[in-house]
Amino acid sequence: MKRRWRKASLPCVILMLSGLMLSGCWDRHEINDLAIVLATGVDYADEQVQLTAQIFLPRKGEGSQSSSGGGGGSSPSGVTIIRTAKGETAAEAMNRLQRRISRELFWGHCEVIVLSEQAGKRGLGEYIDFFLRYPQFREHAYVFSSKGPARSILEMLDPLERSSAESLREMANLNLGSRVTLLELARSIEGSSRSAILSQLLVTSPNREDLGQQENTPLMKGMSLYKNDKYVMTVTEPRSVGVLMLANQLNDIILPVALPPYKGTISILLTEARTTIRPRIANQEWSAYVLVKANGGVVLNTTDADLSKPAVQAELRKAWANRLKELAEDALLLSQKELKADLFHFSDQFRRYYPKQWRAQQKEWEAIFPHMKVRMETDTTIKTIGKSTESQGKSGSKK
Amino acid sequence: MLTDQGKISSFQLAMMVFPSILATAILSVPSLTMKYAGHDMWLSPILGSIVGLAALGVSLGLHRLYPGQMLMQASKQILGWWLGKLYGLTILIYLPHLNGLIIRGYGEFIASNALPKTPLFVIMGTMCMVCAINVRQGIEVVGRTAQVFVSILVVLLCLIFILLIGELKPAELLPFMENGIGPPIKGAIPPAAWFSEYIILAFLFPYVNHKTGMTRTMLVSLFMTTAAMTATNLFCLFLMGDMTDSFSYPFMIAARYITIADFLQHIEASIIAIWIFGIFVKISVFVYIYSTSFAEWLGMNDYKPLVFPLAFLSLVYSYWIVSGHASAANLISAAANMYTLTLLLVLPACLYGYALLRNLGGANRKKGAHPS
Repeated sequence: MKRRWRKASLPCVILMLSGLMLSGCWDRHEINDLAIVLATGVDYADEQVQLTAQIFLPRKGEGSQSSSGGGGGSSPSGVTIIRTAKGETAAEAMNRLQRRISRELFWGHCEVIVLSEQAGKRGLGEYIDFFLRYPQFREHAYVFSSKGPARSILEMLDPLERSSAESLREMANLNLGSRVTLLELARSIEGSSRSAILSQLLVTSPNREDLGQQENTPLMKGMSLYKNDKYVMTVTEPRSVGVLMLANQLNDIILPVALPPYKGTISILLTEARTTIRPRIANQEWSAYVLVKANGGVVLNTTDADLSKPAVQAELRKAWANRLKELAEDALLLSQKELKADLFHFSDQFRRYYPKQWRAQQKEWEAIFPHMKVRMETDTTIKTIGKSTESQGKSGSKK
Repeated sequence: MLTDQGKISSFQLAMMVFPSILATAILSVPSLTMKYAGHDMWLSPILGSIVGLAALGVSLGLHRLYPGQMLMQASKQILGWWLGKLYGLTILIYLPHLNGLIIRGYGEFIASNALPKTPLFVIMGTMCMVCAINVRQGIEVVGRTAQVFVSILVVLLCLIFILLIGELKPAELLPFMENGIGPPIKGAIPPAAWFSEYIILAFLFPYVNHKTGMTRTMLVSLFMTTAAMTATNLFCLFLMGDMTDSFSYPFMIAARYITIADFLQHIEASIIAIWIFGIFVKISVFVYIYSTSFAEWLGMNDYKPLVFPLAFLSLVYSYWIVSGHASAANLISAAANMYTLTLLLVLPACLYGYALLRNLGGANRKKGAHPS
């Protein structure tokens, strides 16, 4: 009996002892020894890289803390703090950043990376390599560019969300601009088109009623364009609409369309747009055909047109298609003639459909692309005209 | 006489072989094949599986000619006592290299992805210890653990694939055969080295209790392994495109990339945990083969006393095989692949070829061979 007990208890003791090993002896991390980074910002000034970390502050509710110390600031609600460090490289800056913080920095939850335009002018290569090499960074982190210092974006406190990192992530998920993850950015730059498009963030000047500069939401406006991993320019609306359309990332945009014989405009909400690029090589001449297919619905009608009539709808479709075509052609002009940068990955398509020719003339692509003929076509469908048929709110229209 | 009296079913054997090939292949093969085959790297495992088919054929053929005997015994029957022992010795010299490589690969992967500060010796040593205990319990226990763990492994592998579907871009498949058929064939060498590990069947067939349908089960197992490897390559290609070979462990990157509905993310730790199941089966199988072969070579009746020393030797080899600061990803060089292919495929194939010739010469000579 006693022996049986001993025999049965032995596995139990071993199980309990193995519990001691489970945490791992060398790599154990106490959660209260970690500083969890929610967002990272990269700036470049005075020939030094500035790395900013937005760190989650677990002791919420202790109220506001005075922002003290060099390079530090804290939020009134006390959810996040900001720390910055400089260095010759991003890695060095990160190392110095660690020395300013009592807890071990943990970058595994960093979902947002903001690269300032200054940093982009120097080339994104260094930062991409760092983010893809250092084990903790997530490849799924969303990357944005910022007009001003990236630090000022991270400093902002969104009253709606826990942190500006969270609001940026949500905004990316809403498809307000281009949604680019770290891996996609790296692919875009390392790929044959050697260019990238990032959403640009701005700090809006706060209204007088607002509490302060910090309590604000980052504004997503325009796109930053990169050629050969270097920042080249920013496009804003209406140009950015075309850029997004050709990059196949356009979503939920409302465009007013004029319908000539009538006065006023009809606003259409674009719900879905798909852009396909078909390359073509005939008689040594490279050309491409771009087709944009868009779906949408009418949300506002300030004209007298009766949208329930098929003829009016057909004309509206045509007008809307023309409007989209103009925008797309403008974006193409920007890419081909002004920047000479293959922003919309025409080269990938040539590589896919004409592998032999691509291999032979790959090196001449930069010369071919700006002079390539591109035929643009837009095909639109209006799915709904909304709750009303005739235009509403016209005085005296219903006697 | 076999050094272990245990019996397993052919299904269990298939369950043991699956992670024995896949556990390490899934990490390194996408990157290695991409290096040589470029865009068409998903073709490479399919081409490489021909080697698996060959290894499977050799194992089955030897088993048909010498039923109930593992490769070490059969070699003595075929080549005679002296040459047979010499042949056995080459395998015994090779096996610790392979074991060391597998253990080192495991250690490096865990160290770089989960436990960066833990000494390699602890990571690899604890695993060796557990595997040695497993092996000492006999083939039946190894078979059972494989059955349990591999089921979990397969379910989770499928789960990763399903969760990733939203992020994939099948357009990456084109251009197909960008540089002709050459690169995919060149790229087939690393997966072929993995597939040549199918020769372990020649060591394990004698333990199978019901031989009927064994061939079919093994062919299905080969098909599953090929399918899993091809799927891994395809998923890495669709997700990372040409960047696949710039990562040491592309599949790990793929698992880290999963983000669904804002909460299903950061699941890579569970993937490491699941992957450990696979590598556990793999190390167990190879330590088992090593110890039974060694015991057979020494003429022992029981392999169990050898398990712990040999597991330790494999652990030591995991340090010896690496020179300088090589990481696990570049441990598997072209030369190492040729080494593996020679010992696991070419030599057994020669052995089998010779055995066939002898049998053609007359069934009587088989009886005249030196009894073991």
